[in-house]
Parts: sequence; C-alpha cells; structure tokens
Amino acid sequence: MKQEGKRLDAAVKAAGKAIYVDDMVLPGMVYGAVVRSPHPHAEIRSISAEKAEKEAGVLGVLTWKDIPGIIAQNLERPVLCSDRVRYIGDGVALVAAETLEAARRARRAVEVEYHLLPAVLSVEAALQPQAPLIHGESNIAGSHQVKKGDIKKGFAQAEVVVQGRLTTPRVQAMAIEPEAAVAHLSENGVTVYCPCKSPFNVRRVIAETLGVSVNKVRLIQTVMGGSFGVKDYDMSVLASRAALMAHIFHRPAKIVFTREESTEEGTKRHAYQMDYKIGATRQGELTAMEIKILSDAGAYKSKSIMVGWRSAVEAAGPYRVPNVHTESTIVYTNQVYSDAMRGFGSPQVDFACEVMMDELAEKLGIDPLELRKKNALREGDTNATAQTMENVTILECLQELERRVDFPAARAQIEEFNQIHGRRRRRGIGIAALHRGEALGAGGEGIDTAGATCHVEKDGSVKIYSGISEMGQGSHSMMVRVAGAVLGLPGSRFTVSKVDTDYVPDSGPTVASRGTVLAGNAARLAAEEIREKLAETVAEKLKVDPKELCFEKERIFPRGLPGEGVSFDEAVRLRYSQSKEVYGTGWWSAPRVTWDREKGQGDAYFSYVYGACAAMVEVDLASAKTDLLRFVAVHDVGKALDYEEVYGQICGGIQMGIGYALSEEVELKEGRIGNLNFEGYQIPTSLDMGLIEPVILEFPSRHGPLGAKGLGEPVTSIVAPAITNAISCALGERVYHLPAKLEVVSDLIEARRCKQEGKGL
Amino acid sequence: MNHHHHRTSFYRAETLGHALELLAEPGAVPLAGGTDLLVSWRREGKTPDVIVDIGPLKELKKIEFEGNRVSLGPLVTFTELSEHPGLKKLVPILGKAALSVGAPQIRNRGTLGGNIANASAAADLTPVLCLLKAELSLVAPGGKRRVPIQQFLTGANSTDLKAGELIESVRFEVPSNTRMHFEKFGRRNAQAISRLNGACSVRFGSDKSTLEAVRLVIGAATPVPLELPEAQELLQGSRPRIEAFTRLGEIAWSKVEALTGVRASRAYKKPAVPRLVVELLVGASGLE
Repeated sequence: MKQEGKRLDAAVKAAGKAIYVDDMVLPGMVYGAVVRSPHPHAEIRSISAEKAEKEAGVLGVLTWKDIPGIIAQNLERPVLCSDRVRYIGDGVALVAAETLEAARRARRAVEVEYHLLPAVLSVEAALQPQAPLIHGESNIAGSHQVKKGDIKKGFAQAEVVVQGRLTTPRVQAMAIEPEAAVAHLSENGVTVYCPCKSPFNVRRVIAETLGVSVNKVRLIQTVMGGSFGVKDYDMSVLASRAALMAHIFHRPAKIVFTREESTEEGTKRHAYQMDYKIGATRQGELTAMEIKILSDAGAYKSKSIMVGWRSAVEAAGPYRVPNVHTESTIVYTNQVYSDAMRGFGSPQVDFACEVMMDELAEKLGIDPLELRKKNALREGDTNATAQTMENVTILECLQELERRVDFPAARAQIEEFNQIHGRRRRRGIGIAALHRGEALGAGGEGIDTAGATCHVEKDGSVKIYSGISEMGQGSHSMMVRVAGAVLGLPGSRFTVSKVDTDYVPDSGPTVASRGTVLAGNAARLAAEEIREKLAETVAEKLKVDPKELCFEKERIFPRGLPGEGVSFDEAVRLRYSQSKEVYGTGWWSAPRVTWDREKGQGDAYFSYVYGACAAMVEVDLASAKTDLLRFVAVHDVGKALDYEEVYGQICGGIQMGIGYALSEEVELKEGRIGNLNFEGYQIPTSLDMGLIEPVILEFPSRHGPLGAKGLGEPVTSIVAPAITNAISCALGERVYHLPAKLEVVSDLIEARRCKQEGKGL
Repeated sequence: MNHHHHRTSFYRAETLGHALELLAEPGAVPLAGGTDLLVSWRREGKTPDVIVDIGPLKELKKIEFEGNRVSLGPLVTFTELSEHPGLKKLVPILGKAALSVGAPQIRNRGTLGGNIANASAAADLTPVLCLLKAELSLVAPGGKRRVPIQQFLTGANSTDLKAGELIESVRFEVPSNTRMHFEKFGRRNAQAISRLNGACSVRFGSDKSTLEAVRLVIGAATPVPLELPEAQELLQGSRPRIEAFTRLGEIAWSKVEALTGVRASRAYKKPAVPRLVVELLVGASGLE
C-alpha cells in the first residue's frame, strides 16, 4: 500500500525526545534495589534488614511480609519470595533509599539466612525419579501431544529413516532498554509507568500484590526500548515492586535494572532438547515423523506450557505427513525461568525439523529444495494436528525463493570459490521453510480478542485508543493506516493514545504476532462505524444512498462524482451540529479454534503464515568463524501495510536469528549465569549481518485487516536452520546444536579433516 | 565509616611532569582511554582512591620516524595507529592489529600504552609489538629506564610497571625486506575479544624462495604472547610448505598446553592453535 505517512514515533525517537521510563523523575522519588538469591534452591530462614536500614539514605527494606495482597499466583514467580527461592536471581527483599546508589549499596548489608536445598540444574536431573521437587508433586510442568495416523505403520512404509537429537540454547532478547518502572499513589489507588507488552496482565498482578481491585491500578505504558517478546512477566513483578514501594512509603518510587540485573533475573527463550525421527519413501515422500521435545521452563511456570504447546503443533513443519506423533514435555529446573521470546516455541522446532529435512534430503540424494517442494502442504491438506489447511502458500514461498536465489548459479559460484579458496575458506548454501500459527491459538494462551475506539474530534482530527502496545514494531502506525484507508484520511490526521489502562480497551497481550491482525481489525471496525455514521449524515444532505458514498482524499462523495461531495471536515461539523457523535468502537475476535488434548488434534490456529529462506555462508576453516554472506527471506505477509516496516521487521528478525544461529547463549554453570553483559553475551554486530534480501509475497489473508498477516515472529524462526544448513553444505558435517559457535564449527572442521585424511590413507 | 563513604579524587594532568607528580600519591592510577579500566571498575564496584587522567598529554601522543625506527607515544589511539600514513606504509601490520580491536568508538579512545599496560592476555597489539621486539621507555620522578616488551609483560594483567611510573614511548625498528602478517580469531567481526591472535614475519634469502628468517608470536593462548623460536630452527633454509607449517603448529600447541595445562578452552584451542600458526606462516610467506 502506498502511504505518505511516516512512523508516528520516528521523529521523537530520532530526536532523542522520547521519554523512556528511566527518564522520569518525580518529586520526592524513592529508589529501589532488589536483593536476590545467590542460591539456585534454598529455604529462606530469616531476613535481617537491621544493618541495611542504618545505612545513609535508606528508608527501609521491604520483604514479602510487607505485601498486602498475594506474593504470586500458584507456580508463578513471587514479587518477593517468602519461604523459598528457586533460582539465582529470585528476589527476596527490596531496599528503598533516597538515591539509586544508596539503595544498591545497602542491599549488600541485607542479611538473608538460607538453608540450602539440593538444586535441579538440568532437565535430565529434573526427570530422575528421586529428583528434588521444585513445585508440588512433579517437576513436569505440563505436556502435550499431537497424534495423527499411525506412526508404526508410517515407519513400516518408510524406506529411509533419519533420526537425531538436536538442542537449542537458552537465549535472551537483550533489548537495549533494561526493565524499569515508576509508581506513585493517585486518587483511586496507584499509577504505574513502565514499558510492557501485556499491560492488563501487569495491572492484574499489581492489583493482586496490593490486594485491591484492578480498577484501583492505573498502568501507563511508556515508550518501549525494545521487547522482542520479553518485558512480559518480568514487568509484572517489577511494576508490582515499584507499586509496593509507593504504597508503603507514600512517595513516588522507581526501580531500574542494570544490564546484569536484567540478565540475571529476566526471562529467556526456552532451551530445548529434541529427538526427531523421520521416515520417507525412496522417492522422498514423508511417511512418518516421531518427535520428542523436552523444554526447560526454569523455576516458574509463566507461559512455558503454552510455548510447549505451540512447539508440539508446529514441530512437523509445513509438510504433509500422514503419520505423526509429537510429545512435548515442559520441565521445571532451578535455573533462570523462561517465558515468551520472539517465536514462542517455533524457533526451536523449526531448527530441528529443517535440519533433519536436510539430512533426509542428503540420505535420499534429493535436492533439499525439491524435497521440501514435494512434501509441502497443499490447499485442503490436513496438517499434523489433522486441521484442514486453507490459504496455504508454502509452495509459492519456495518457488519464489527458487527464482530469487537461482540455486544452480549460486551452487556453481560456491563450487568455484571452494575450488580456489577451499584450503582456508569454504562457502555453502542452505534453506529452511516455515509455517507458523497466527495469534494465540487453542493452546489456552488467552481469549483472542482486541478492541479499538476511534474518536473523530470536532475539528476533524482523529484519536485512536487501543490496548495493543507500540513496542517499536509500528503497531500504532499500523492502526492509523488501516483506519486511514477506511476513512480516506492521511496519517497526519491521527494520533494514537498511549496504552493507559484507565482509558484503552483491554486488547490482550501484544504477543504472538497478533497485533496487526487483531488490533488492525478492531481499528478497521471502529473506522467502519464512523464511516457509516458520516455516510448517513452526508447521504441525508446530498439525498443519495449512503452505500453509494466514497471516502477518499479527505472527501466524501457519491461514487464517480468527486466534485459533488463534501469535505470530511464539513461532514464532521454537520454531524456534530445535529447533536450526534462521531465515535466508533471496534472489537474483533479471532475465529474459533479447537483443541482435543486426549486425541492430540484440533484446529489449533485460525490461520497459518508461510515463509522460505536461504542463507549463504563462508566458514573460515582456521578460526572456525562463520560469516553470513547473503540471506534471502521470502515471507507471505498477506498484505504489506507498509513496505518499509515489513522490510524492517524482516531485517530485524534476521539479525536476531543470526545470533541464535551463531553466537548467542546464556551460559549457566551451577545455575549461575556467566555472561551477564554484552561483552559476554554475543549478539551480532552490523558487520556480521551480510546482505539481507527481504522478499515480500502478498496473498491476502481472509482474516487480517486489508488482508495483512502477522510477521514479527515468523521472520526470526527459520533463520538459524538456513544458516546451519549452509554450514553443513560448506563442511559436509551437520550442525545439530545451536549456537554454531567457534567451538562447534571447529569440531566439524576437524571431523571433516579426519574423514579426508582417512580417505587419503 | 567504611568504603561506602570512600571518595575518589580525579585529577587531569596538564604536563608529563604534572602527571608524574600526581601519580606519586599512594594508590594513584593513570587513566588514558579508559576502555579497559572503566569496565573493570564498574565490574568490581569500586574505583581507585586517586585517578590521574593523562589523556590530554600531547607529549605522549607523538608518532616519530627515523629511517626504519619508529617511536610511538603511549597515547596514540588505535584509530591513529590504523590511519597514520607513515605507519601504514612502513609497518602496516600494526594498523591491521589496531583495526581488529573493538569498534570505532573504542578505537577512538583506546590507546597503545593502555593496551600494553592493561596487559590482557587477549590484547591485540602486544603480539605484534613482541614480533617487532619493541622496547618501552618508562619514566618516573626518579628517572627513566628501558625495558623490552617481552620483559615488561610478566603475566595476564600483570606488568613490570612500578607505582608512579608511566610509559613514555614505545620504540621499535622495522626489519627490512621482511613480510609480516597478523591474524585474529574472534567470535564476530567487531567488538570481538581475541580467542587467539598472532603475528609472523618472514624474510626470504637472496634466491627469493628460501626462508631465511622466520619469527612467529601467538597471543591469547598463554598469559603473555608466546614466541616460537622453533619457527626459525624448523623453517630456515627451506621453501614455504604447508606440511612444515603444520608441524610447527603442532609444536606450538604442545608448548601452549605445557604452559597453561588443561583448560575449558582446550577443545577449541588444540586444533585452532595449529591452524592459526599455519595461516600466519601462509600469510607472511605469501604461499597463496
């Protein structure tokens, strides 16, 4: 879509004028610092604040005893722990002081007496019969299965079988803005400012902490310095702590984390161990897949069970597989807990499935792209959950990838390069394919509905209110574009309210790449209501059928007669002069989805998105470093509401995927994170990006506003397998474990050398 | 009461003499670019009692030539090392090593003297300076002394620099008719701390095909850069050959292993040290 508008938040951010929560200073503000458990698993025997409270500038030390409400829902991370800590980073006390420095200094003087408990430091240990229990009766937090056909029969039909164990690490978003919150008492209760993506969930947890009803809590979302799925449950805990301080001291309160605190306490993407077994005929037709997934939830539940469900649903890839059995088991450990992070269970299984598809292609002697095309889901096929698939575009994505990359030419170039430079450097090419369920699905993540209200003011300007968060992805600009398209208005007419729970409708969390589809549709419906109202007014004046009216270029006119209409402003004035309002309200709910837990089947998501990508890499056989040279990413976005935004999403998603593929992992030793800051946690730099080629396909969605589909998570989910498949192409050795860091690739280089020397003998 | 009420005095030196005077105070620490010190002070949660900012001292920023002899002030930044036309022409290996450090912001602040005095085992300039047999001129209120860099570096983050002393200059002579090569193995293309690095120099005999002089230093494998005298012994008088380079690589690893014992990094470094040695020799000898 052509649009003259720019991102609503671009100018203030570029000018450095955006107000982030840490920029907020309120008169008389109190600062908080969290005292955290240094042990992965322990009972709290006592907490003594005496010494800390004597330190200069300290106002007091808060513990769970100061919490008027509850410390947490069952299985969730407490705002402050009462009797037990379950990971290194669990908060046990909160020091309040006149300055941030005083608060941070004094926390060293808080004395906590612990009784150490045996800690569970791996999924394997958690599943031992005599393993110490982290919550309740079992360390298994939850499990899911997907069943289709009969895998015994499927493997009996198979002429070729591949199987392998694959692992993915715990990674984190490293948003440039660490978590922070400001709270103050207000007329009705407490007002909290923070960057978050699930404002109504955060509000609920604050209310539960303070023991008040949710309407006593006002949550205002500040400009967000990055989310990527994180700042979710972490913000519920942090905002509650700030609110507690305001409540106890009757002064405004602020907590801001250092990078190290953010890493130590904050949620991660789940580490997975996956066993894949795939059977196929010699012609390359898939006959069966058997998949066992173990997910490390860490110390608390958060959304781990839903994450594991999405993995189960998507694990068999965008392929027609007649017989599938997938088991996904989510396990507690005494390690930093995991929650949503860009992909929500997709990146792990996409990695495993796409690596194993390449292994199958190799074993069959079939080109990896051909194998995927042969097995790609077609319209009307049933997927692994026995859902009948509609608007399936995986084949179109693969075909477009084929056109863009020109594989024979690319392979010839690689061959030539390897001939010339192969002693030191080898190049390779790899692909990966994607399907991903849109929005929340049937896994119990929540009620999939969103609202928007649209107020046309008396001067013709428009204000939109919605609970969907702007976190840098452009959701607010997106709503403006959708409403603008319906009303024939330019973006400059609109402003969007910040997310303020006192005013905006609860639209659920801004997760699951659902913002565009859900809030976009809500904005469309709100704008359509306004359009109907104005059409009624104008039709009356022009004495025409309201259905015949067009809304274009800030004018309302009978179809084909632009000269005979009225301006948008005139129509608004006219309607107000008749004592009628020009407000619109839109609520949009996702189509029905179903899930039968016992059968392991259902219409899991109302829609799926598709993509395919290719990576070209160069591996330095001396250092074992992999450079991404070129990345072609084809995504069916339904309808690009803004090409620049879509390119931005794709490039940003690829950047995160490169880190997942090559360098990022949270290093845990005895439950303690070794790489707390950027020097140890290695995200790709601009020099590690390579040439990125986003390719946008537009097969309109039946459900999305103007045909648009969600994009934020799909783009990042298949980057790693494309890159590791390219490494395998370069080295002739497969990558089963992420990240493919120096150590991993070095081992492959040595394995390759041994084989070659073996051959030479 | 205790270190909670500790105050740090911060001085900005205006001349070298002034700096030495300020540094005479007990506990005084000189600060140049700050790219290492600020990070470690933040990590440790404390700052020294006295910080003497020597950053403004123009007399320590000089780059001087006398034929093949080079004298560098310790406050020359990584950026200046990589961009100075005279250095680029005479000793490009130094600029290459400097350019491999951090990112532009760090290279604009970080200094030659800081890289030496901080003495990180993974420092990128020190292997090159060892290859060049650089000599440091150290100055203190009591007088000056000269120390070869190999002696100056006594261990990881440990040097022969005495309290109150400053590096005044770094001098070396660039050997004539000699090809040099620098390699760095890092995890990414910027902001990468060396997993391994190294520098190598090669001079061919009059036949232009036989190796006459070979020197090789590897870094980040041992607490201080490790020179391999075996390079000269093994390769002198022969033509460059991968097989011989590989043999030297194996010798290099056995020396590293003997010096460091079994460490977590062994799985990577055992094969990577020999591969580094081969690439250093291939690069310097122009085998490919």
